[in-house]
Amino acid sequence: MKLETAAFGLVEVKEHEVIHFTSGILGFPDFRRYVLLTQENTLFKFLQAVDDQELTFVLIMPELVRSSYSCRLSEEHAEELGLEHAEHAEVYCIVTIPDNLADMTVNLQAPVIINVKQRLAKQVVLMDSHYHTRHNVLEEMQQSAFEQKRESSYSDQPTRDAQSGV
Amino acid sequence: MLVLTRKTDQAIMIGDSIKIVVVEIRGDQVKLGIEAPRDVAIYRREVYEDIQRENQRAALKKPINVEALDELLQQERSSEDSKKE
Repeated sequence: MKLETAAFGLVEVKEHEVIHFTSGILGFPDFRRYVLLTQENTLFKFLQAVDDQELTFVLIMPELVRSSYSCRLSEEHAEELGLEHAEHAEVYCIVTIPDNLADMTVNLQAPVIINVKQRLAKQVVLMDSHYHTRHNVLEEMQQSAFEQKRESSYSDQPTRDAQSGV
Repeated sequence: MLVLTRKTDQAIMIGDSIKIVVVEIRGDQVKLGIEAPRDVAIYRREVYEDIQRENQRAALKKPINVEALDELLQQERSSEDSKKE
């Protein structure tokens, strides 16, 4: 089917590329079918609703913004997504793009987890308080770079994992 | 809004498949247990509203300039690289 998308104009989408959200993106419960659009020259991916061509979310891999990003899925969520191994999951976070592009923020608290093999996905909410919904992307990248430099002069330290759930 | 009064260990059914149980009451805190089917999301209201609001803000309202976005990221990444040198 053909969709007119905000990111890439007219796009041809095949049924087998459709990803099924077990429950919708929060706030959009009626839309469960999306495709993941990307192109070679961009770090961003686009979650395009199949049933509403005007519904598109901008995604980015969270570790590109905050290199230490990590999250753990609850057993229930892992089961819901048919995930036996972490390698089958792709994790993306939703980016909010304001009029001034440099002010773009990313929601690190509610990542979108995709089981690519089974074409299942879900937006999970992490309980850990050190992630919230509006991290300034460029500032985070600066901070990450600074911290990576500093940590390379210390020995390995344990990192806290954010747990999904309520 | 339907308002019901429950004691510890009493429960409420919502529809056929959602159950809410008062697990414990301690001072002004109530501990609730919730059973629901998988496709029903359960969140603390303020967390849910925050995520929902942000998702609404994030949904694209107009076409975006992907190249311009990537340029901003690239600028940031290349300035990191030059700092490392």
